[in-house]
Amino acid sequence: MENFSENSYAGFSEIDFINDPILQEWIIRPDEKSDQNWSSFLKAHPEKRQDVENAVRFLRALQFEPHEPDIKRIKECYDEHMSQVKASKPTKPIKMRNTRRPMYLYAAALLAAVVLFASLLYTFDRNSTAQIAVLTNYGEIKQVSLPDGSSVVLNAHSQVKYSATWNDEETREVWLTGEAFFNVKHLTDTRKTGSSQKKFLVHGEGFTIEVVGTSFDIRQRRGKTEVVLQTGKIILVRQQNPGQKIEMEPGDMLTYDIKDATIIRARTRPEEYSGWKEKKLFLNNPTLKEIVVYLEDNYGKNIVLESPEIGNKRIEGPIQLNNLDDALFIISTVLNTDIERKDSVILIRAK
Amino acid sequence: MKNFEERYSGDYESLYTGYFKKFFNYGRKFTEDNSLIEDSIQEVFLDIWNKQNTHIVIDSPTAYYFAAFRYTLFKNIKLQRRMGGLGQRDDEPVFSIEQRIISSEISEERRQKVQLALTILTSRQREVIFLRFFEGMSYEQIAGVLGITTKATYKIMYRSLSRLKEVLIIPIFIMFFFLD
Repeated sequence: MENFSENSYAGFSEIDFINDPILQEWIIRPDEKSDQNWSSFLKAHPEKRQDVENAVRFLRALQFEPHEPDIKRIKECYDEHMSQVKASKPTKPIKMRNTRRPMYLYAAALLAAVVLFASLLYTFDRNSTAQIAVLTNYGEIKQVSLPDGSSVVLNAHSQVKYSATWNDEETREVWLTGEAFFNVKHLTDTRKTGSSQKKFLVHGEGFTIEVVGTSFDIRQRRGKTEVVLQTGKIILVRQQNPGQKIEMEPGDMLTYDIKDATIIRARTRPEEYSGWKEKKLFLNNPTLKEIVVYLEDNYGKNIVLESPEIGNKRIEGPIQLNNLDDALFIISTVLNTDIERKDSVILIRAK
Repeated sequence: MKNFEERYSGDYESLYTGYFKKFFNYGRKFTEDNSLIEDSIQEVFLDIWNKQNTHIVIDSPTAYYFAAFRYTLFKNIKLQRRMGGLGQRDDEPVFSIEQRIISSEISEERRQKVQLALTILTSRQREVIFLRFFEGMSYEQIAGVLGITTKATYKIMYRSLSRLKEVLIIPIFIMFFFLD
């Protein structure tokens, strides 16, 4: 929050006061400090009193009809919510019958109880390390430092999860939805003699990537995953076919479709592919449809094409997408289209 | 935001009740369908509950939950429209205010004028003013709720307040509204 500074208000008019975040804050959350600030300002500048008073009266009048829910209804909804919560973690009741059971059944029951207790202890122990989740909104990019010093650049509308602490014995593990660029630190496994690498695993939807000190990009959008390796070496394993280990070389791009389980290997320029990190995404000879998909995924807008045909229009050569406005400008000028924006919907039509 | 317990020093039920009231009031600006609002609230809380063991690194829990509720409510409103086969199904829901004139008390007069003046703003302009002056959110939080930049939020707010001010200094214009 900016600090109160009397001098900056000398040239203010009524409308300036109305739009001043500090004066607004005083109306929303008045406290002693701001009361003092404003009264001393008005003492020093009596000529501003009328403007300030008008602004205050104007802002105080901005009220909305409140809608209050029925208190009983809230309680009902709360109870319903709690039963939903319980239903999401089902506990199975044990059935009892009133007949005599042979001795071995009791033995089995006792054994089961011991196993249950042991597994409970185990899960309790595992849960004690808390998970950290970092998420990004549409249009937002975040830099995340992992406990081992590796770094993740998280693209818009994505999430990365990991344990708060990574101790020496454990494999480093990260869960990703959306898109991120990883820069993984080399770590030697202290348990083993020799110079074996400590594992770093990235879990995505339907696959896991094993990393050996590397930088690479994972893009998971709409059931499709693309992995681009910039440096080092990674191994991709799919849940559908855990036996097959796919090794990647720098510059490789693997495209993996969850629905039809196809996997395609291609060559790409990794620096350009991961250009979104600097908010500079390069697309080579993209069709309008490809650009639209990218903009929808990263800016959360609903983009409507007037006809499917204009989606096939192609921009020759590489284009750079720095932000939504630039991208729309390129689309309107290069592809000769009209763009209409209404809240979060963008309509593109041929001129 | 650190973790679940730290986020809510009180008990879970009072957290639920507090947000329920806020969400209900906010939701009613977009739809009059109470059960649709309630369903959306339940969806958001189930999500909050399921995430209680994860540490979420976000700047403002309030903005985060409002954004989640807004997203869920809009999704459900659109879904309902689609099932009802209404033509305007992909339009964003509109933030509307009721033009209910309660009494002719003098103290109420100015408030009513403002209510009427608010109707000339766009849906987004009204929503920004609501989040700032009713919910008391900061510009950064509002940006988070609407999924836009803080700079854009400043711009929208400036335009809305200036437009409102324009209308409110011409009492005769307002009078016509009243006679209508």
